[in-house]
Amino acid sequence: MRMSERSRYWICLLALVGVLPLAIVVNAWDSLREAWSANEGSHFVVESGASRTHGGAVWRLADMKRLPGSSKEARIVLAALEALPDDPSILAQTNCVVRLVDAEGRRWEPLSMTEPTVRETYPEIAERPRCSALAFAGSQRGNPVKMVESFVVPANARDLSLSVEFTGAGDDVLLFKWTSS
Amino acid sequence: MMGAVRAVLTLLPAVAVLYVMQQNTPGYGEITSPIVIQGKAGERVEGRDFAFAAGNIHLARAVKTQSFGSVREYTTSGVWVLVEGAAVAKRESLTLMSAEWRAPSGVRYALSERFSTLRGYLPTERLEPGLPRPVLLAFEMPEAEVRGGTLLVARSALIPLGEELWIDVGEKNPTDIHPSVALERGSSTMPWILKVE
Repeated sequence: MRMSERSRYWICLLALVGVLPLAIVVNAWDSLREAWSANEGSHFVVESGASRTHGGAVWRLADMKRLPGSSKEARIVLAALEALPDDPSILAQTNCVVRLVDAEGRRWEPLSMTEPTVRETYPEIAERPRCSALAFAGSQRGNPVKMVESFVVPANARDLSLSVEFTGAGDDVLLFKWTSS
Repeated sequence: MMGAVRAVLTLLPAVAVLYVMQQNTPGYGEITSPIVIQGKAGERVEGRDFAFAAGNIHLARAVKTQSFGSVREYTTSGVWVLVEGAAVAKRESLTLMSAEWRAPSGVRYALSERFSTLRGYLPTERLEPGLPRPVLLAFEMPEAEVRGGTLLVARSALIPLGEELWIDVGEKNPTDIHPSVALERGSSTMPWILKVE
Protein backbone atom coordinates (compact mmCIF):
# COMPACT_ATOMS: atom_id res chain seq x y z
CA MET A 1 0.00 0.00 0.00
CA ARG A 2 1.49 3.34 -1.06
CA MET A 3 0.96 6.39 1.11
CA SER A 4 -0.17 9.52 -0.55
CA GLU A 5 2.12 12.60 -0.50
CA ARG A 6 -0.33 14.37 1.80
CA SER A 7 -0.24 11.52 4.36
CA ARG A 8 3.57 11.44 4.32
CA TYR A 9 3.64 15.21 4.91
CA TRP A 10 1.39 15.00 7.97
CA ILE A 11 3.18 11.94 9.40
CA CYS A 12 6.56 13.71 9.08
CA LEU A 13 5.17 16.88 10.65
CA LEU A 14 3.69 14.95 13.59
CA ALA A 15 6.92 12.96 14.01
CA LEU A 16 8.76 16.24 14.54
CA VAL A 17 6.76 16.76 17.75
CA GLY A 18 8.42 13.68 19.23
CA VAL A 19 11.76 13.79 17.41
CA LEU A 20 12.69 17.38 18.30
CA PRO A 21 12.40 17.01 22.13
CA LEU A 22 14.18 13.66 21.82
CA ALA A 23 17.06 15.31 19.92
CA ILE A 24 17.34 17.98 22.64
CA VAL A 25 17.39 15.35 25.42
CA VAL A 26 20.03 13.25 23.58
CA ASN A 27 22.15 16.34 23.02
CA ALA A 28 21.92 17.47 26.65
CA TRP A 29 22.17 13.95 28.14
CA ASP A 30 25.67 14.39 29.60
CA SER A 31 24.76 17.71 31.24
CA LEU A 32 21.53 16.26 32.68
CA ARG A 33 23.38 13.25 34.11
CA GLU A 34 25.96 15.59 35.67
CA ALA A 35 23.21 17.70 37.26
CA TRP A 36 21.52 14.59 38.71
CA SER A 37 24.75 13.19 40.12
CA ALA A 38 25.55 16.58 41.73
CA ASN A 39 22.37 16.28 43.84
CA GLU A 40 22.85 12.64 44.75
CA GLY A 41 23.95 13.12 48.39
CA SER A 42 21.38 13.14 51.18
CA HIS A 43 20.76 15.79 53.84
CA PHE A 44 20.14 14.69 57.43
CA VAL A 45 18.92 17.23 59.97
CA VAL A 46 20.28 16.60 63.47
CA GLU A 47 18.32 18.42 66.16
CA SER A 48 20.09 20.47 68.82
CA GLY A 49 21.88 18.22 71.34
CA ALA A 50 21.25 15.03 69.30
CA SER A 51 23.87 12.88 67.57
CA ARG A 52 23.97 10.83 64.38
CA THR A 53 26.04 7.88 63.21
CA HIS A 54 27.76 8.52 59.90
CA GLY A 55 30.98 7.52 58.12
CA GLY A 56 32.29 5.29 60.91
CA ALA A 57 31.56 7.63 63.85
CA VAL A 58 28.81 9.11 65.99
CA TRP A 59 28.73 12.85 65.30
CA ARG A 60 27.59 15.56 67.70
CA LEU A 61 27.70 19.33 67.78
CA ALA A 62 29.00 19.74 71.34
CA ASP A 63 28.84 23.53 71.59
CA MET A 64 28.38 26.71 69.64
CA LYS A 65 29.52 30.00 71.13
CA ARG A 66 29.27 33.61 69.99
CA LEU A 67 32.22 35.91 70.68
CA PRO A 68 32.80 39.59 69.88
CA GLY A 69 34.23 40.19 66.43
CA SER A 70 36.78 42.68 65.12
CA SER A 71 34.02 45.25 64.51
CA LYS A 72 30.67 46.20 66.04
CA GLU A 73 28.83 44.47 63.18
CA ALA A 74 30.80 41.19 63.30
CA ARG A 75 30.66 38.20 65.63
CA ILE A 76 32.85 35.13 65.86
CA VAL A 77 31.04 31.83 66.07
CA LEU A 78 32.97 28.95 67.58
CA ALA A 79 31.60 25.48 66.79
CA ALA A 80 32.89 22.51 68.78
CA LEU A 81 32.27 19.25 66.93
CA GLU A 82 32.83 15.71 68.23
CA ALA A 83 33.10 12.40 66.41
CA LEU A 84 33.07 9.21 68.50
CA PRO A 85 34.76 6.57 66.30
CA ASP A 86 32.68 3.47 65.73
CA ASP A 87 34.73 2.08 62.86
CA PRO A 88 38.11 3.94 62.70
CA SER A 89 39.00 2.34 59.33
CA ILE A 90 35.96 4.00 57.68
CA LEU A 91 36.47 7.25 59.59
CA ALA A 92 40.10 7.45 58.39
CA GLN A 93 38.83 7.63 54.79
CA THR A 94 36.32 10.37 55.59
CA ASN A 95 36.85 14.02 54.80
CA CYS A 96 34.55 16.80 55.81
CA VAL A 97 33.66 20.27 54.57
CA VAL A 98 32.10 22.46 57.25
CA ARG A 99 29.93 25.53 56.73
CA LEU A 100 27.69 27.67 58.89
CA VAL A 101 24.19 28.26 57.50
CA ASP A 102 21.58 30.75 58.68
CA ALA A 103 17.79 30.91 58.31
CA GLU A 104 18.14 32.88 55.05
CA GLY A 105 20.35 30.16 53.53
CA ARG A 106 23.54 32.25 53.66
CA ARG A 107 26.68 30.10 53.99
CA TRP A 108 29.89 31.01 55.78
CA GLU A 109 33.15 29.14 55.25
CA PRO A 110 35.30 28.50 58.36
CA LEU A 111 38.33 30.65 59.07
CA SER A 112 41.69 29.10 58.22
CA MET A 113 43.37 30.86 61.18
CA THR A 114 41.90 31.03 64.67
CA GLU A 115 41.09 34.60 65.69
CA PRO A 116 43.16 36.03 68.61
CA THR A 117 39.94 36.51 70.65
CA VAL A 118 39.29 32.76 70.51
CA ARG A 119 42.85 31.89 71.57
CA GLU A 120 42.60 34.30 74.52
CA THR A 121 39.09 33.30 75.66
CA TYR A 122 39.07 29.56 75.00
CA PRO A 123 42.71 28.45 74.57
CA GLU A 124 41.90 24.77 75.16
CA ILE A 125 39.24 24.78 72.41
CA ALA A 126 41.36 26.85 70.01
CA GLU A 127 44.08 24.17 70.03
CA ARG A 128 41.75 21.47 68.72
CA PRO A 129 42.14 20.36 65.09
CA ARG A 130 39.75 21.40 62.35
CA CYS A 131 37.39 18.92 60.73
CA SER A 132 39.53 17.11 58.13
CA ALA A 133 41.02 13.71 57.37
CA LEU A 134 44.08 14.76 59.43
CA ALA A 135 41.96 14.93 62.58
CA PHE A 136 40.87 11.29 62.12
CA ALA A 137 44.35 9.85 61.52
CA GLY A 138 45.16 7.43 64.33
CA SER A 139 41.68 7.67 65.86
CA GLN A 140 40.62 4.78 68.11
CA ARG A 141 37.27 3.25 68.82
CA GLY A 142 35.69 4.87 71.87
CA ASN A 143 38.07 7.90 71.96
CA PRO A 144 36.16 10.99 70.79
CA VAL A 145 37.84 13.20 68.18
CA LYS A 146 37.24 16.78 69.32
CA MET A 147 37.33 19.40 66.60
CA VAL A 148 36.68 23.13 66.34
CA GLU A 149 35.74 25.50 63.54
CA SER A 150 35.42 29.28 63.76
CA PHE A 151 33.44 31.65 61.56
CA VAL A 152 32.95 35.39 61.19
CA VAL A 153 29.27 36.30 60.79
CA PRO A 154 27.21 39.50 60.99
CA ALA A 155 25.80 40.28 64.44
CA ASN A 156 22.25 39.93 63.07
CA ALA A 157 22.73 36.36 61.75
CA ARG A 158 20.14 34.14 63.43
CA ASP A 159 19.10 30.46 63.56
CA LEU A 160 22.58 29.22 62.73
CA SER A 161 23.16 25.57 61.85
CA LEU A 162 26.41 23.74 61.22
CA SER A 163 26.52 21.90 57.91
CA VAL A 164 29.05 19.04 57.70
CA GLU A 165 29.48 17.60 54.21
CA PHE A 166 31.26 14.25 53.95
CA THR A 167 33.18 14.09 50.71
CA GLY A 168 34.47 10.55 51.23
CA ALA A 169 31.25 8.95 52.49
CA GLY A 170 28.55 9.25 49.83
CA ASP A 171 28.60 13.08 49.71
CA ASP A 172 26.02 13.19 52.50
CA VAL A 173 25.40 16.29 54.60
CA LEU A 174 24.61 16.44 58.31
CA LEU A 175 22.90 19.68 59.33
CA PHE A 176 23.32 20.26 63.05
CA LYS A 177 20.70 22.61 64.48
CA TRP A 178 21.62 24.77 67.47
CA THR A 179 18.81 26.43 69.37
CA SER A 180 20.94 28.70 71.58
CA SER A 181 22.79 30.48 68.71
CA MET B 1 10.58 19.94 -15.12
CA MET B 2 8.30 22.36 -13.31
CA GLY B 3 8.37 20.12 -10.23
CA ALA B 4 12.18 20.25 -10.07
CA VAL B 5 12.20 24.05 -10.42
CA ARG B 6 9.61 24.32 -7.63
CA ALA B 7 11.69 22.06 -5.37
CA VAL B 8 14.81 24.16 -5.95
CA LEU B 9 12.87 27.38 -5.30
CA THR B 10 11.55 25.92 -2.02
CA LEU B 11 15.00 24.78 -0.95
CA LEU B 12 16.77 28.07 -1.67
CA PRO B 13 15.14 30.10 1.16
CA ALA B 14 15.75 27.19 3.56
CA VAL B 15 19.45 27.12 2.61
CA ALA B 16 19.63 30.91 2.99
CA VAL B 17 18.04 30.75 6.46
CA LEU B 18 20.41 27.95 7.56
CA TYR B 19 23.41 29.91 6.24
CA VAL B 20 22.40 33.04 8.19
CA MET B 21 21.85 30.96 11.34
CA GLN B 22 25.22 29.26 10.94
CA GLN B 23 26.99 32.59 10.49
CA ASN B 24 25.31 34.05 13.57
CA THR B 25 25.73 31.09 15.90
CA PRO B 26 27.65 32.35 18.93
CA GLY B 27 30.84 30.48 19.85
CA TYR B 28 31.34 28.67 23.16
CA GLY B 29 33.21 31.69 24.53
CA GLU B 30 30.29 33.99 23.77
CA ILE B 31 27.65 31.58 25.13
CA THR B 32 29.50 31.17 28.42
CA SER B 33 30.79 34.75 28.70
CA PRO B 34 30.06 36.59 31.98
CA ILE B 35 26.66 38.13 32.55
CA VAL B 36 27.22 41.88 32.65
CA ILE B 37 25.64 44.01 35.37
CA GLN B 38 26.00 47.75 34.69
CA GLY B 39 26.52 50.33 37.41
CA LYS B 40 28.20 53.61 38.27
CA ALA B 41 31.07 54.57 40.56
CA GLY B 42 29.86 55.97 43.89
CA GLU B 43 26.84 53.62 43.91
CA ARG B 44 26.42 50.13 45.32
CA VAL B 45 26.22 47.83 42.31
CA GLU B 46 24.29 44.64 43.10
CA GLY B 47 25.15 41.25 41.70
CA ARG B 48 23.48 37.98 42.71
CA ASP B 49 26.48 36.71 44.72
CA PHE B 50 28.17 39.96 45.71
CA ALA B 51 27.84 43.74 45.69
CA PHE B 52 30.59 46.26 45.03
CA ALA B 53 30.89 50.02 45.38
CA ALA B 54 33.78 51.98 43.89
CA GLY B 55 34.55 55.06 45.99
CA ASN B 56 37.62 57.27 45.71
CA ILE B 57 39.88 56.97 42.68
CA HIS B 58 43.43 58.32 42.77
CA LEU B 59 46.02 58.70 40.01
CA ALA B 60 49.71 58.62 40.87
CA ARG B 61 53.13 58.34 39.24
CA ALA B 62 54.46 56.24 42.12
CA VAL B 63 53.04 54.21 45.01
CA LYS B 64 54.86 53.70 48.30
CA THR B 65 54.09 50.86 50.69
CA GLN B 66 55.46 49.97 54.11
CA SER B 67 56.42 46.43 54.98
CA PHE B 68 58.18 45.46 58.23
CA GLY B 69 59.45 49.01 58.68
CA SER B 70 60.93 49.37 55.20
CA VAL B 71 59.41 51.57 52.49
CA ARG B 72 59.01 50.22 48.97
CA GLU B 73 58.39 52.48 46.02
CA TYR B 74 56.59 51.19 42.94
CA THR B 75 57.13 53.39 39.90
CA THR B 76 55.56 53.12 36.48
CA SER B 77 56.19 54.46 33.00
CA GLY B 78 52.45 55.13 32.77
CA VAL B 79 50.17 55.96 35.65
CA TRP B 80 48.83 54.12 38.71
CA VAL B 81 45.06 54.06 39.11
CA LEU B 82 44.11 53.28 42.71
CA VAL B 83 40.48 52.51 43.48
CA GLU B 84 39.19 52.49 47.07
CA GLY B 85 35.93 50.59 47.32
CA ALA B 86 33.84 48.25 49.42
CA ALA B 87 32.59 44.76 48.65
CA VAL B 88 30.26 42.30 50.32
CA ALA B 89 29.30 38.69 49.66
CA LYS B 90 25.57 38.02 49.62
CA ARG B 91 24.99 34.25 49.70
CA GLU B 92 28.27 32.52 50.56
CA SER B 93 31.85 33.35 51.58
CA LEU B 94 33.87 34.25 48.50
CA THR B 95 36.92 36.08 47.20
CA LEU B 96 36.78 38.40 44.20
CA MET B 97 39.71 37.20 42.11
CA SER B 98 39.18 39.20 38.94
CA ALA B 99 39.24 42.95 38.33
CA GLU B 100 40.05 44.79 35.13
CA TRP B 101 40.12 48.36 33.88
CA ARG B 102 38.51 48.58 30.46
CA ALA B 103 39.77 51.60 28.55
CA PRO B 104 37.51 53.29 25.95
CA SER B 105 39.75 51.75 23.27
CA GLY B 106 38.55 48.33 24.45
CA VAL B 107 41.93 47.36 25.91
CA ARG B 108 41.62 45.68 29.31
CA TYR B 109 44.21 46.18 32.05
CA ALA B 110 44.32 43.44 34.68
CA LEU B 111 44.64 44.18 38.38
CA SER B 112 48.31 44.74 39.24
CA GLU B 113 50.00 41.84 41.01
CA ARG B 114 52.63 44.10 42.55
CA PHE B 115 50.51 44.69 45.66
CA SER B 116 49.31 41.12 46.14
CA THR B 117 50.56 41.02 49.74
CA LEU B 118 48.93 44.29 50.77
CA ARG B 119 46.14 43.95 53.35
CA GLY B 120 42.80 44.95 51.89
CA TYR B 121 43.91 44.26 48.31
CA LEU B 122 40.89 42.81 46.48
CA PRO B 123 42.08 39.22 45.78
CA THR B 124 43.45 38.84 49.34
CA GLU B 125 40.19 39.70 51.11
CA ARG B 126 37.75 36.91 51.82
CA LEU B 127 34.27 38.37 51.86
CA GLU B 128 31.68 37.05 54.27
CA PRO B 129 27.92 37.31 53.65
CA GLY B 130 26.47 40.40 55.32
CA LEU B 131 29.82 41.93 56.30
CA PRO B 132 31.02 44.65 53.88
CA ARG B 133 34.82 45.00 53.65
CA PRO B 134 36.89 47.91 52.34
CA VAL B 135 38.93 46.78 49.33
CA LEU B 136 41.73 48.35 47.33
CA LEU B 137 42.45 47.90 43.63
CA ALA B 138 45.50 49.08 41.65
CA PHE B 139 45.97 49.22 37.90
CA GLU B 140 48.97 50.29 35.84
CA MET B 141 48.29 51.79 32.40
CA PRO B 142 49.23 54.50 29.92
CA GLU B 143 47.86 57.89 30.92
CA ALA B 144 45.68 58.13 27.78
CA GLU B 145 43.71 55.01 28.81
CA VAL B 146 42.43 56.41 32.11
CA ARG B 147 39.71 58.82 30.96
CA GLY B 148 36.34 57.18 30.27
CA GLY B 149 37.38 53.83 31.72
CA THR B 150 35.12 51.12 33.10
CA LEU B 151 35.94 48.99 36.12
CA LEU B 152 35.10 45.29 35.68
CA VAL B 153 34.81 43.18 38.84
CA ALA B 154 34.05 39.44 38.90
CA ARG B 155 34.40 36.48 41.22
CA SER B 156 36.66 34.81 38.67
CA ALA B 157 37.43 35.37 35.01
CA LEU B 158 37.11 31.62 34.43
CA ILE B 159 33.61 30.78 35.73
CA PRO B 160 31.24 30.23 32.76
CA LEU B 161 28.17 32.46 32.96
CA GLY B 162 29.49 34.12 36.11
CA GLU B 163 28.43 37.68 36.82
CA GLU B 164 30.67 40.64 36.06
CA LEU B 165 29.98 44.15 37.33
CA TRP B 166 30.75 46.88 34.79
CA ILE B 167 31.18 50.07 36.78
CA ASP B 168 31.27 53.26 34.78
CA VAL B 169 33.84 55.48 36.46
CA GLY B 170 32.57 58.56 34.56
CA GLU B 171 32.53 61.67 36.73
CA LYS B 172 34.46 60.01 39.54
CA ASN B 173 37.51 59.89 37.27
CA PRO B 174 40.09 62.32 38.63
CA THR B 175 42.26 64.48 36.40
CA ASP B 176 45.09 65.32 38.84
CA ILE B 177 48.00 62.92 38.83
CA HIS B 178 49.83 62.92 42.16
CA PRO B 179 53.61 62.51 42.09
CA SER B 180 53.32 59.84 44.80
CA VAL B 181 50.73 58.08 46.98
CA ALA B 182 51.60 56.23 50.20
CA LEU B 183 49.68 53.18 51.40
CA GLU B 184 50.21 52.77 55.13
CA ARG B 185 49.06 49.93 57.33
CA GLY B 186 45.66 50.63 58.89
CA SER B 187 43.39 48.89 61.39
CA SER B 188 41.40 45.66 61.15
CA THR B 189 38.31 47.58 60.02
CA MET B 190 40.21 49.78 57.51
CA PRO B 191 43.27 47.78 56.41
CA TRP B 192 45.14 50.66 54.71
CA ILE B 193 45.52 54.42 54.98
CA LEU B 194 46.05 56.24 51.70
CA LYS B 195 48.12 59.44 51.90
CA VAL B 196 48.71 61.73 48.94
CA GLU B 197 52.26 63.07 48.89
